[in-house]
Amino acid sequence: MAERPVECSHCKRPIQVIYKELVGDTITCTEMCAECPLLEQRLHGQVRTEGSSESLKEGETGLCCGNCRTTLESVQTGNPLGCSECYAVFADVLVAEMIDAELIPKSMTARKNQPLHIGKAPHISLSIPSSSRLTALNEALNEALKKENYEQAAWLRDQIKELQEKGPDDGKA
Amino acid sequence: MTEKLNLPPFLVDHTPWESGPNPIWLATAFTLHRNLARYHFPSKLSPSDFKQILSILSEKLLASPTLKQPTCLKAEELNPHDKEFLYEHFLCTDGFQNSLGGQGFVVDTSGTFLGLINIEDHLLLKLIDSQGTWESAWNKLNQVETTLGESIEFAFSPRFGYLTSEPNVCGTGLITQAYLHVPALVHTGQLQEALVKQTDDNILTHGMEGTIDDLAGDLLIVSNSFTLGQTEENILQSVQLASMKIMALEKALRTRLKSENNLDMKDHVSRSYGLLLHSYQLQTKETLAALSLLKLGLDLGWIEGVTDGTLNTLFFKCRRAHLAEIVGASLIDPHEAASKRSDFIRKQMEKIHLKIN
Repeated sequence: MAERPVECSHCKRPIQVIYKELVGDTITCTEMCAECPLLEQRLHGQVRTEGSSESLKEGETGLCCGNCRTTLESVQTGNPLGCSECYAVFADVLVAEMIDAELIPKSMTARKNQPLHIGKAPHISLSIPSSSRLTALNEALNEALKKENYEQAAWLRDQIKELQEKGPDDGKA
Repeated sequence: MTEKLNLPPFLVDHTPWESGPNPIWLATAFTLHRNLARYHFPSKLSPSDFKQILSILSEKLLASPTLKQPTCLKAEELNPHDKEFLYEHFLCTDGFQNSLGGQGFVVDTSGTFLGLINIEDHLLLKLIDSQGTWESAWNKLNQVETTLGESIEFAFSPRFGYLTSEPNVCGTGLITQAYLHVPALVHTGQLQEALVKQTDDNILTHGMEGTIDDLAGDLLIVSNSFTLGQTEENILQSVQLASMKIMALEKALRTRLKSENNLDMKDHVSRSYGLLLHSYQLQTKETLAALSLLKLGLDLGWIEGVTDGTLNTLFFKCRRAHLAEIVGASLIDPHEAASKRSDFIRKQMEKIHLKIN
């Protein structure tokens, strides 16, 4: 169905700017997010040389992963990381960018140098109890009642009843 | 003529949400991202490493006791039509039409599991649940991952969790997407307000093609914002909670539209019926939009002669790769696709009738 891109062609944010450039008889069209470094470069006439974000040229300096040669500039322009080591090399930058982009819950942002991951770890199987949906429905019902939205509450109550009668694994949605 | 599909029949014969139990909630897709610890991520892999990883991961997945008779499909052996079909069947929002040698897919006879190898990350495990058993579906996916993890070391750090090519998916590596059909909220202009009131920072909402301003088929995707800093259970519960609240609003609105005998909505449903019945060229998007209103009309008792499951199936079958398979033509030409789509839909409309007075 996606017959047009939904994300910035450079990073992975939603498209907010469509930049069209007319050079001679050729029109180029780039779709990008509002914060895209590419937009900054296009607007100020700087031209990125091919492959400049991929590896450091001789004599250039900058933070670079020693394992896969991914550069800081490459990471900052939204290119994928090259290996596990990149997470250690660019840790501070990655955390700062994730906080800016609101990719970490606010409650976790104060955890300097602390584990940000609280989910499953290797070799641990993590089953989720089948009562999880019932918990969500009850929570939604309480919120609806608090907001005095009785039509919404009535449907939620029906769903809870149905789920309790059939058992969670037979309940629908 | 079209190239023949190289996909197993169980994928071609069934669509994931044809037997859905709820007219508003259509399916939930769970995706887990994983990378192998000892290799560079796909953007830095050498061709030989690509092949080695494909061989390791496909072998492990084919031996998984949780999967039902799994099959491996190598990307180089699939034509673009096959890949587009997989993309549509598994409700993907990112394409993999350009995938080549060293990349592959593993499917099983359930028709709801897709393992993507060396696409974005070394491994993406995807499961579609259309029966409403969220926890069972997650537990199945988790079982597949845990079994793999017994013999493969996944890239993991205590600080960042499971390490992924895109840092915005690290941590649990879990994306949970609930597909909700919300035409009443869309056509009464209440969707934006509902989303502000019913969702929080934990939730992202979008459509299959982008933002909520332009929802193809009035399908809203509710997914988790965070993969890091939350447990898998938190993620599942927040997506469930937001989905339940939106579904309750949509249902309440539908009940009101029916009791009010809402003229505007009747007009929308009738026009959609007419469009599908009398058009000779239909684009995918307008077909989805009209089918969406037909689905709503059926739920409100304004349409008869069809089941909700059949309309759900048409949501898949009007998309290009599925349609190409049905009509036996390549449909590269947009005019031909639009014409074949309208022919196909007109036939499906033969037994469907308006009940609006």
